[in-house]
Amino acid sequence: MNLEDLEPLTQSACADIAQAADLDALEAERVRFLGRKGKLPEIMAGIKDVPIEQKRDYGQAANRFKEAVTTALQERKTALQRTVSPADAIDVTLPGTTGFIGANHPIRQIMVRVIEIFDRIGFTVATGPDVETVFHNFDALNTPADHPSRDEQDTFYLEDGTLLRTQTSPIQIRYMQENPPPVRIIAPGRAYRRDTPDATHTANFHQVEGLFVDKKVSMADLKGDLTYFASEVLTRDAKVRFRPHFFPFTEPSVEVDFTCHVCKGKGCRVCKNSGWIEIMGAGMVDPNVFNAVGYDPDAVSGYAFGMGLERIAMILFEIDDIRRLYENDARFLRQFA
Amino acid sequence: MNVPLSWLQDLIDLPDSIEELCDLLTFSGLEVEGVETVGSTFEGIVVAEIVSIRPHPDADKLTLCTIDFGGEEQMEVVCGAPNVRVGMKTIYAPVGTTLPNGLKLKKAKIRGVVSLGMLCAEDELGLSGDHAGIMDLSSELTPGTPAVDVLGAPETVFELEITPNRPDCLGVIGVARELSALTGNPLKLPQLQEAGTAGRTPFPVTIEDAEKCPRYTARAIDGVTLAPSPEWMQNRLRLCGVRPINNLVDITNYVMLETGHPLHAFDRELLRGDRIIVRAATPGEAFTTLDEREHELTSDDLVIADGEGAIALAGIMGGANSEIRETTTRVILESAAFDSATVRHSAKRLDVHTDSSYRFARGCNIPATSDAGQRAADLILELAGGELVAPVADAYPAPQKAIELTSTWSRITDLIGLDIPVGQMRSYFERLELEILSDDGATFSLRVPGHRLDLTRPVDLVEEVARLNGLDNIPAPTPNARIVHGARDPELRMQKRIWSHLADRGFLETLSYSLTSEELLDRMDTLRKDSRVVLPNPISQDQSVLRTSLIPQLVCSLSLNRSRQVDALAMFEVGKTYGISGGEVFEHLCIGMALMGPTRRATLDRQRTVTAQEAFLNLKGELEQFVSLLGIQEEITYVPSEDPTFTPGQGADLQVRGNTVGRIGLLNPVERDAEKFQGPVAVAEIQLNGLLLNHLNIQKMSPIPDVPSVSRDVALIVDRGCTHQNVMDVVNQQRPGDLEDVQLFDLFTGDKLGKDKKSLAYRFTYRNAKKTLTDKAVEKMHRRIEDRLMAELPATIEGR
Repeated sequence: MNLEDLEPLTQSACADIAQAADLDALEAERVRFLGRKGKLPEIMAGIKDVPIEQKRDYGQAANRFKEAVTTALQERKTALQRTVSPADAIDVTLPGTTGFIGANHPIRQIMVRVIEIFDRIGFTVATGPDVETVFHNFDALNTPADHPSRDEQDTFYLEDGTLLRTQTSPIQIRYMQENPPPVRIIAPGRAYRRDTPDATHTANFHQVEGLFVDKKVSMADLKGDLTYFASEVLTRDAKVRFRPHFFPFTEPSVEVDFTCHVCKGKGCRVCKNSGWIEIMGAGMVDPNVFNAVGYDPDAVSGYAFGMGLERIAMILFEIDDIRRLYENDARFLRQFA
Repeated sequence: MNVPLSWLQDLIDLPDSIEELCDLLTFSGLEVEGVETVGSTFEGIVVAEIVSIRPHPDADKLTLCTIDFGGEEQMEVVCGAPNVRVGMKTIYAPVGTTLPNGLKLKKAKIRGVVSLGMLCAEDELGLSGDHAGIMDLSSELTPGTPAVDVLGAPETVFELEITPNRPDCLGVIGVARELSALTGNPLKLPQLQEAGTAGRTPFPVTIEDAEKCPRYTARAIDGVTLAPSPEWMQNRLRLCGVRPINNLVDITNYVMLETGHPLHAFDRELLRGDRIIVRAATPGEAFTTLDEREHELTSDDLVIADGEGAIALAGIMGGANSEIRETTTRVILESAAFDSATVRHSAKRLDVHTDSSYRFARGCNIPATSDAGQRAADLILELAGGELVAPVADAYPAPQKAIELTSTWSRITDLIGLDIPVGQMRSYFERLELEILSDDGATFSLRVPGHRLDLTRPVDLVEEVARLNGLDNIPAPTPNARIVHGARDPELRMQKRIWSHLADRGFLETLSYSLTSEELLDRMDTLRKDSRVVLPNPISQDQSVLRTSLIPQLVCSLSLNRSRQVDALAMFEVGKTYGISGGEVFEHLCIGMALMGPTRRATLDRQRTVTAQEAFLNLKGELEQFVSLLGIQEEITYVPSEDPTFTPGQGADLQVRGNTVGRIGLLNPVERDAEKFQGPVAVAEIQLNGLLLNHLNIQKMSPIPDVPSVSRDVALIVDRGCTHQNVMDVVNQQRPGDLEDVQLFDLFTGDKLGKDKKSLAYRFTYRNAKKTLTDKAVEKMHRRIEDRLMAELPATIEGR
């Protein structure tokens, strides 16, 4: 290799490199010029045949070759990396690798929602057993000895005379037996009634019970707390309406309506044009209940409420048949993801 | 209870708006469940007389009736009723009119004959469900008379839900009394006549059990004439859902509907010994009620007897042996008070439920017992003739004292949470007929009228004030979000994490009933067979036992979805399982998980068959993540399980410190095939009791090493039966402190190794927190571990 050949070689190498079509071709160029058996080792080996007075220039030219080729390779590589290679293009519309989406059951979602709303106004969660004593489920809740709800027709009794709780209210009793006032609890759980299953009944359902006991708790406190709940759970600025009713464990007792979340009270199909949706039963804890748990009914008062979660889920999600909630059809459950 | 508006209007002046009235009732506690309009104005529909009849040329069952309906011309209509006759007066709906059921009459050809309008049966006029024949009206009516003049104006009927504490509102007067309290309009009660003083001695009545029958009154009336009751009375009975029978029976029913107090009339001629005894039935006593059902009584039942035997089940139903008959002229009219529990129990045990038993079971106004009898007697004398032939017999051994209640005004306003002036509250009580006996401005006492059986305690007065003042007027203050000292719910907080964790991991949360079938548990949860809690009174075999595991229902849920063409699915449930041990029922909060199909596969790799090991490891991986959420990953061990739910050799028990807390495995092939699963189904269950509080443990920080680690890879060739746990046990026996981590990274089986061998490849990572380990030091530690593995498993290592 002669000194005067080096400059043209450098130029043609850079020109070839700039022509490389893709990264593979570029790599071939790199090997051709800089590889172990490429041009650069050949140039470097050629220095020994160069006349002594040219050796310095030859060495400098060889270095220029190396630098120019290296720079050209890098430039071409960057240029190629910045252009689309059809072979490497990804179909960005392909589905992602984890395609399975989970979901909480609609009843669970409502339960969590209810718990969280009441959590914010100082309620803690209490629980109790599904298998209850007659005392906790009926007697302590002021249910008359011959009340029809105690019938075997309506209640599942076990061999030993215990029963599957017909409401979550026995949790109140257990909690008050174990804790002195004040009490501010919310109690979710399953309840059981001997109802033959149909579109609005299952023998097994979920309730949430609320209880607040302290000095001078009033119906106004009940209405205020429930109005807050109504605004959070169904629709903002919801109002609460009481209708007198009768339950053995509260006096007075009321049924509680919330402003219809669909029409905001104007009247629609969902609320049967009343503007209101019946949500729960509530009332002021009956003095006999306080007596049963050892509270002094002259010293404290309290409110209690109870609602069915299936009912709320059905209203909120417009579910047509309660049995769908227990069928566990994935197409149904996934809708609530 | 059905309450016709017109009946209420007889008793009190009411607002014109039905809507306003409904609100008044509903917000006083008598919920209006429905408002029905019965009848119609019958626009254009008139009375007609059948002038002549000829057979239909083409149909045996049809006739052609020529009618006179007051117009200039007569008309011929086709009629299918069997009761047509010449001279009959009936109702005619001409072409162009609309029947109450919405049918608009058009000119029609019936079997080739033109029919102009129709002759109507009761059901077509919306009067009843009766379609036996066209209406057969009084022969005195003039053809052309508007139907509304004969059939009555349309009636509005309220359907009220009366709560069990308000039996006083099971009569129209009770409802009117409520409306009077709400509106302040006066009540216009029917005037009662003076009780007759004719005759010498009252009809003999003896009460043997005053607990069960606190009061019994009897009125003796002779010379009554049995006939249909007047049309207005029959109409009201029908509107209330009571079938008219004859004037005597109708009057007793009418007064029951009016006053809420049930009555009964006996044919005096049928009373043996001409007397009445109220007594307990003798055990085994046979009695036939007037619906001709025979009953065997017990001493818990109360009967009305004559000189020889029972003639009525007290407060429930009369006997066939003393019933009013067509020939009845002499009547004993009973108005009595019976113990509510006695009536309720007997009605239930004997399965005889009547309007009377319904009311007595809820309690009656004992002081007003005689008034109800007097009202009925007045109506009998007016409508059926006859006369009272003896003074009223009134057996009332222990006259009831009115209840007096003492309370403070502040107790009422405190519980309502609204300052209501005392004068206002006093006026509410007065309107409710609660007589104030004393009031010092703070404490008051009052007397409760006999009809308010629900007011027995001072607290019962709160609702009276609250509802009369208007529940809408109770304020709704912003919540007073107070914190109750010491109240905590840490387990719930962990549960909330669990619920969302698995949903986030791609599991669908299911909810199944706590009750399931024994057949299902026999198939998929036999280990806990002896601890099942079986219901003695289930609704169906499908829900007859409390579930002992969540797995069987999860498998069913997967199966249901498989049958609906879902091939890959992950599901979980958090719920209780139940059992009985040593006579005590226990409840365990559990989590169940189930997987089928390639749920954990990359999207483009889902057609490949899922192997048993893959299915197992998929779920086990989820389980491992889950137990680390619970904070027990360090303590848990997996021990091969014998549980027959699993395929033999494909299940494990989860143990924590020797206690089994759960299990995981592949559903056994018998059940897998029975449910038509195409591939393996992995199921797992963990008992959460006691595992929900680890999240409260505080994790202290460990130092992060800044010294590099050194790794060594080794492939162990071992027997097929050698487990990963066997390897780890050997490693851990004398584990050097500098061995930081051991990871299995490959599992290989193949012909090259031989049928009974497999290769397990591990990466051992060494690190000393203080100094960089030399190759030599690592080599020494590693060599020692390899030597032990080779000797103890035993294992061979290539190249050694």
